[in-house]
Amino acid sequence: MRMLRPLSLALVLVAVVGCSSDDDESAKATVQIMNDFNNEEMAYQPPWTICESSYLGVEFGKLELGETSDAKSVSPGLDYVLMVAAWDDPTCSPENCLPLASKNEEEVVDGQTRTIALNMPNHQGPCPPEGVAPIPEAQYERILELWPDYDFKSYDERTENTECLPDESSGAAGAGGAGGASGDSGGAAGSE
Amino acid sequence: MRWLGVVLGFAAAGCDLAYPEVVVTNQTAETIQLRQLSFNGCYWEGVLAFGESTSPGRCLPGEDRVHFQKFDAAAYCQEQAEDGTIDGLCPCNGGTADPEILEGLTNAEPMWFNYQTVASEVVDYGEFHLFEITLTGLEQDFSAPSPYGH
Repeated sequence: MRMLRPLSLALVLVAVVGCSSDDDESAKATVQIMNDFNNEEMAYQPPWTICESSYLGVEFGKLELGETSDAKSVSPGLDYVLMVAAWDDPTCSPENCLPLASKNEEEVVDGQTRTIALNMPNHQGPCPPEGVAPIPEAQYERILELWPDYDFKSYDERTENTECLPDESSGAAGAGGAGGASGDSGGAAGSE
Repeated sequence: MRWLGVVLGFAAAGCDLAYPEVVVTNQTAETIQLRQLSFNGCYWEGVLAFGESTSPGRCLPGEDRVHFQKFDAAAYCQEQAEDGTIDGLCPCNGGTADPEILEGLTNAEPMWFNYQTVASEVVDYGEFHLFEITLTGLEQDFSAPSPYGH
């Protein structure tokens, strides 16, 4: 009996570890990302084209206003939707782009099918207007690592991104930047 | 006489054990109004114009920030003038509304944004506190849903 107890304990331990690792590998959720920035139920509809998007390590690609991505399988978890978005520019010219993230840390669980909507209240950016949250450094840095070709400024200089700067012709804030609330300039999470 | 002393003693102790009394004053700027003020269990209805104070509230003892919504009438007026959204309000840019305003980005409805005091305040039984909301002592509160929707 004395020999059996440690042996049985070891077997239980192996079974538990094996079981949990199997679960982690097989657990899947199905996710779609929706560009909901033109949702007319919101107070404002900032014209952000989502040029790049990623959630839980899976890329969902470009999404024009009102468009929903293909359904993709992700490992369940909790994460922000990371994006590069262009202000009023469906062509996604880099000078009109800014790094944005969902305001909410979105969660999916095993077996769930979910569409995550990105819109005025559910986004944050580097130079936001009043009422929109500033993007935290961790999310900003992840976006820079994911999509270095956009050549965004460092986090300390995030408000110096071209899209955040005032429009030279009108003196208003950059188109992608901020003026979401006032409409005189940029995007809702971009600049001000 | 001995009983009277005991009663007075309890009365004094009871006074000390009363919930903390709090008053909040709007000391931001003449064009800024505050509403939906709250602090540690207290909630004040109504709008506070500049210089006005809430009624005294019996709040819970403990630590909290003052939470409220802020409306800047001057900023609102300027935005509406730039957008040309209100008849009779002189538009900017030489009398015409900004032609670059994008559809979906104009709204004449006043927006109240969520704010809180930067500093937390501690209140305790039997105390009275007057909290002044100043422009340098407030910050946006993103923990509450914004006026842009849920």
